[in-house]
Amino acid sequence: MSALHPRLAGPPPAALADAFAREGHVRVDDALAPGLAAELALVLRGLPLGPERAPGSVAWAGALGVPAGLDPQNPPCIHAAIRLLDQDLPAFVGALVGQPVARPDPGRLPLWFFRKGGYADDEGPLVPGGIDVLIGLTGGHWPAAWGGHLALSDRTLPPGFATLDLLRDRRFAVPLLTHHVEALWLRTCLVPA
Amino acid sequence: MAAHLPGAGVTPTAAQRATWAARGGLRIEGFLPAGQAEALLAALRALPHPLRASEGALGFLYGECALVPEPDCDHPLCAFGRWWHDAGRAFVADLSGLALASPADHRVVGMHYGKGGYLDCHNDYDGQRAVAYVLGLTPAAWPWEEGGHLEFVAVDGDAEVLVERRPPGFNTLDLFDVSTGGPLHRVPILTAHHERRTISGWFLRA
Repeated sequence: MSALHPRLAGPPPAALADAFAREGHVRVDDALAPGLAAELALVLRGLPLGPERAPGSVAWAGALGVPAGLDPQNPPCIHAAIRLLDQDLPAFVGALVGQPVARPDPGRLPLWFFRKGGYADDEGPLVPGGIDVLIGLTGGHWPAAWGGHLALSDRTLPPGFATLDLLRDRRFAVPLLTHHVEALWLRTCLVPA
Repeated sequence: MAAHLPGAGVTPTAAQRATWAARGGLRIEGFLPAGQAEALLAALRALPHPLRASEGALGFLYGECALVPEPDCDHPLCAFGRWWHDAGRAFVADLSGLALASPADHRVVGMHYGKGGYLDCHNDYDGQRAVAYVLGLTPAAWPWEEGGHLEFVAVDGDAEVLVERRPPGFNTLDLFDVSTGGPLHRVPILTAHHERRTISGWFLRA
């Protein structure tokens, strides 16, 4: 069973493909299977992630290794998320761009969280030439002035819940989060298979 | 370095005593002899300061490097730690009139705030802490609007009132009494790429 929303089964709408080809960014709302984002947000935000400072960013980031095959000791949403990232999403995006794509690091859940003090000044593709993928797991809403939104050169979007952002050849930022709220993303990339 | 630190007999000035008596805290400029603050800053910059973030009610985010001074070690931080938890503590006890003890391990804690660093409002009181100290080792200056300054606040009805704001300093020593539920204070979030460095901590009730 796909971990994408059932309405995304089948070929992607032509308008979506056109928009992505034209703008290098699309957001798909309500992109995940019903309930998956809610489960993932609760499970993943409980992980003992610490903040990390890197040049131009402070984020609570890490990659959760998930063993191949079902492990009943893991919450089912973990395996659903791996299926989403490693199978369903590459199939969907591959159809969108007309070229097979795959993750360079399958089997891992890449967490990218921002809490008060977190920011990313200038982000680009994780892999040169790749398609950046951001899956929003943020249930709360807050003003963009508080930071933590997804800032592109021509638009600013709230972090989103069950959202799918695809970026190609686009730089973006996550402005400094100045309040006690939490932006949660899975961040990965897709490269030609 | 120890030979260049102030001697064991360093004593507060009358003006410093008067300020403490009136306000329960003060900032001392030019606290260490020439060259010592520079040596401490260089030593701290060479050490990793892993980021720490709050896991409880008090919010904070900063880099921290805790070091326990070793006997006879001539590393600037070890020498400072031995001096600070001996003659330095005696100086603060004399100034405050409080009987003070150091933490058992005589730790020295370097703190680094970069962009995003902050410390939410709190009063330090835990029943053991007596005097809070902040040795400023920040070489640059920036406007308070960009955060990273030490602010003391009070509550007036439903309003939060700024009582005092101290910019990050270099070779400054901020002291304040926290023995009875000390002043509310905070470091607002640093919104730009600055480097705020201190050696901070508390002397305890003896």
